[in-house]
Amino acid sequence: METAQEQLLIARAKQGDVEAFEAILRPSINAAHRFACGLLHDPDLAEDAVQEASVRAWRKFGRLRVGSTFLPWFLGIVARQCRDQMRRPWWRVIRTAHTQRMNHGLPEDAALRRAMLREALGELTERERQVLILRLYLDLPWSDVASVAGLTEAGARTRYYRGLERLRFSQGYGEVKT
Amino acid sequence: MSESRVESELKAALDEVYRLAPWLLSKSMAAVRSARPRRQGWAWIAGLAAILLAITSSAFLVYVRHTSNQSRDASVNASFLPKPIPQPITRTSPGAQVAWLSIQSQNQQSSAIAVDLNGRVVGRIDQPADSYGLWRSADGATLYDIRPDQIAAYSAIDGKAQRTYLRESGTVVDGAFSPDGHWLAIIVLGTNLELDLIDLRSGSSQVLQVTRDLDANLPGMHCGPRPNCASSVVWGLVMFSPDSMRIFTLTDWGGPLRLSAFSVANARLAQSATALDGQGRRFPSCGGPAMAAKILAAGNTLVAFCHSDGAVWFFNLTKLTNIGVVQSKQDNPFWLSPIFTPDGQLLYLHQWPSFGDTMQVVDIAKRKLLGPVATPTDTAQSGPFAWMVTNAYAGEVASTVPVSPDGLKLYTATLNGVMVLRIPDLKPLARLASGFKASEVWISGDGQTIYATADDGKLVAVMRAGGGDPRLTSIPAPASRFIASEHG
Repeated sequence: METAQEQLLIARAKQGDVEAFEAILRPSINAAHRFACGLLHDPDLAEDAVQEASVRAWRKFGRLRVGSTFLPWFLGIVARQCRDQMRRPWWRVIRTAHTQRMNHGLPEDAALRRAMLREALGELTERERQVLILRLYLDLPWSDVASVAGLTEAGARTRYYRGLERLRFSQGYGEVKT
Repeated sequence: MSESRVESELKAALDEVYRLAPWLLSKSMAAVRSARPRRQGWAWIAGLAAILLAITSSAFLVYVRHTSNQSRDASVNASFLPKPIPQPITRTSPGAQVAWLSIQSQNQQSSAIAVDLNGRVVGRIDQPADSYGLWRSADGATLYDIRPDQIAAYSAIDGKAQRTYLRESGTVVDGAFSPDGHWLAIIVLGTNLELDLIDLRSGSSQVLQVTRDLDANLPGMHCGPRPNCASSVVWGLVMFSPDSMRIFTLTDWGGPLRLSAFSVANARLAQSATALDGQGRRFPSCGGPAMAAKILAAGNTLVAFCHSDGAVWFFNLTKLTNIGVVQSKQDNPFWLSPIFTPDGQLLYLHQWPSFGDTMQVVDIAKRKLLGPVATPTDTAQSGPFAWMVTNAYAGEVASTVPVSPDGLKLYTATLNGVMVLRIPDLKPLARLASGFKASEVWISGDGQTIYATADDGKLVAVMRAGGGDPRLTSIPAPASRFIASEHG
């Protein structure tokens, strides 16, 4: 969406125009859902999170600063909603330790390896996880990644590469750089 | 493991837990619209009390509905839907009262047979192997066999040949009869994509080229070694306005979608406008080959249903702009059957019983979706639409829409006869041919006679709309479907 057009819609939505809000939300909803899926690893929970985040965004729309773009702001709300959602059912955070090393050459191990990778992603810090998903999976520019995660661009890059290193290590390769 | 490999593996790992949710926007916006403004701090107690009251009320209502057989009336939900506008009965000719059924003979030849009001087989049309299919005219009185370079017309009374029309050669993409019976418009893919407008009175025709995109997206289609299927395949629909004076084509809906307008004023075909996604307009796209569409609201609105993702599109035909998309809940492509009511106020979306048996309804004017509502499987069970049927087939796609010609009732085939349901709330009014395992329903042009095929396709039950015993007719080969005026 062009910036001028988005700013026009934001101004209308701030005045309570729900159709304008829908027009702003439409191009962001898939990215938000992918982001939530990446954080929650559950498409149904992710749908709930995005739906709830949409309501939160509408209620808090007045806080969106003039000149800001909607997507990073909205993804920040989605991230907080996902965090809340992960906190609610306490049993979801119980994880089992890795018990086996994979033979990485066998294609039949791929699914299990990806499952372990997702588990390893869940063990990263919240910001590392967010930054990885936003940059790698949503292909957002560094400025937006930093904005969503509440970091500087340099900080976002640092966490991205640190997260990748941790994932590499979790899969049995390399060492963690500190 | 290299960094880039971790990145690609992580992408694949995240893809595994991602699932498309095309309904998410409409779901989220429904939540937004129903959301109240943020409560002040002091008001949280009142909010809590309201929630408790709502929960208590809901529990009470559920209890009452489960314990009372009198609570099946769906008037609460009907209050959200507009009352149907009775439509004039126009298809009153003798031919329009005769049912035509497609049958498959033992030698695989496609044929159609006619069954009249008295349950007699009164006609048969054998189609050549290269026929595209039999279409029924808007007034129901004539059948047209669409062949590679000509169209043969038959009387719907007895199947007698009447005349032939020449047509542009090529693959028929879609066709439509004008409501006044004057024209047949077909879009044909030959060397180019063309709109062929045939005057059914004189037999003359006019042809105009329809612009197409040779790089149009055709998701899911593979054409062997060719880089793009668009050289041999076009996705397109053609529609007449209710006054028969304008024609619209919706093409390349895999993207970028094109909406074109043509005029038939003074019996002369002329293109009046075209609008393309990305050129000053934003149009949606549909990722599959099938769409159903209808022009409503006095010819000003085009409503189109995408069988692939369940989206309902609304276009302003004066400005050729997209004015909205309502996302229905469709778990898999082609699970929903669209049923437009003749007054143009509602679009029912019925999910086939084998996929879960639910109904959604779109209020066209408000562009609002209600449902999905599960069909109760127990007659003692009540639900928002209060159905009492175990299986309710609402027809296939728009070809056999079992809505009465006056637009007031929906006829659904069940394994225990044909249910008559009131529009808009689908309250059951009557059960016809009790005990008959019905598969599909067709209603005569005057609405007085109901035809239903048996689930094995070997019998046709003919019954009066007002009730009474059905006449059962054996047919020479299993019937696959009724040939309805909507040209399915």
